[in-house]
Amino acid sequence: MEKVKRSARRAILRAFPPCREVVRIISASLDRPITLRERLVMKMHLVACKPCVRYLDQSSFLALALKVMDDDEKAMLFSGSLREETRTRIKEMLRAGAAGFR
Amino acid sequence: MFRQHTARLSADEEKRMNVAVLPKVEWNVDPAAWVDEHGDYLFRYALVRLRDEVRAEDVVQETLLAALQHLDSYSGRSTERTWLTGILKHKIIDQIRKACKEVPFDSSDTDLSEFDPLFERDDEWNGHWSDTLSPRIWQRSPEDAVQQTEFFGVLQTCIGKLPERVACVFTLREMDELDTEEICRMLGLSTANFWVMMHRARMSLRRCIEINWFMKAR
Repeated sequence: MEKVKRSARRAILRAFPPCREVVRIISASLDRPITLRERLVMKMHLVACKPCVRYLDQSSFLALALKVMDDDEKAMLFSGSLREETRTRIKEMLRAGAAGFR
Repeated sequence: MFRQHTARLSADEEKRMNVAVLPKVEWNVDPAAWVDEHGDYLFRYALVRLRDEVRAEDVVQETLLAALQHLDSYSGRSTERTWLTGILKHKIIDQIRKACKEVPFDSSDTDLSEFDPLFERDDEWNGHWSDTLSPRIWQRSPEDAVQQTEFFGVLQTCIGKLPERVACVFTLREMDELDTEEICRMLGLSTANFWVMMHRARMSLRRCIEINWFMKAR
């Protein structure tokens, strides 16, 4: 049984374009509507190829990680802070500007 | 209901109300306090998108000064931070647009040959994933807050390693969720090139994150 499955997988992989081209279709599927032919190639290939399934899952995961969070949450997770001198400089400019208004 | 009520106010009463409301809005705002309250937030927001500390600091400064000038446009309906972030977004996009106009289109941005080794094999399966470089199973997923912070740190570093334009395209699309057409117009790209650059970003980021986060033992 396992042997049949394996040979079927091999046949599919041989009949359709290799991973190098399929990963581009997978990327495209995340960016735009893909053509019928592309969809067929992708679906068939994914039946037979575990690494490409992972590529799709992991790429989707990346997009999701950036999209599900709102800006506030993301900013908490990213790092970096203003340098002290920049902080002081901007404050002074704002104070001078605010004084100008009054 | 409210409108009916105010309609009945005399001119005198209306004047009193305005006097009571206006100074409160004007004098309660201390722009210098924005720096401590929102400065780091705005800086991170800019840094992950511009990937350059000096440019990020500049754009924060520009944003706060613009906010001060347009204080009257702040309606109080959104929070101060949301309002400032809105201004910052525009400033960042201006920056990216300017930076990309200065640098002519580089054909290396759409060159995918760096990934060729991932699909090189000695056997009959050449063109398929190499056994050693193919995507691994990602065992860890960032679950708690500490892990998420680590994960985003790695993601930030990995985005920083992308070629400048590729990183621009990817963050504008995936983080800011701008339309493809909008990004292409802004950076003067064909859609075909846009898609290649998105693919390139994904290939690099996926691998970089796998190596630096998922394959690292805790």
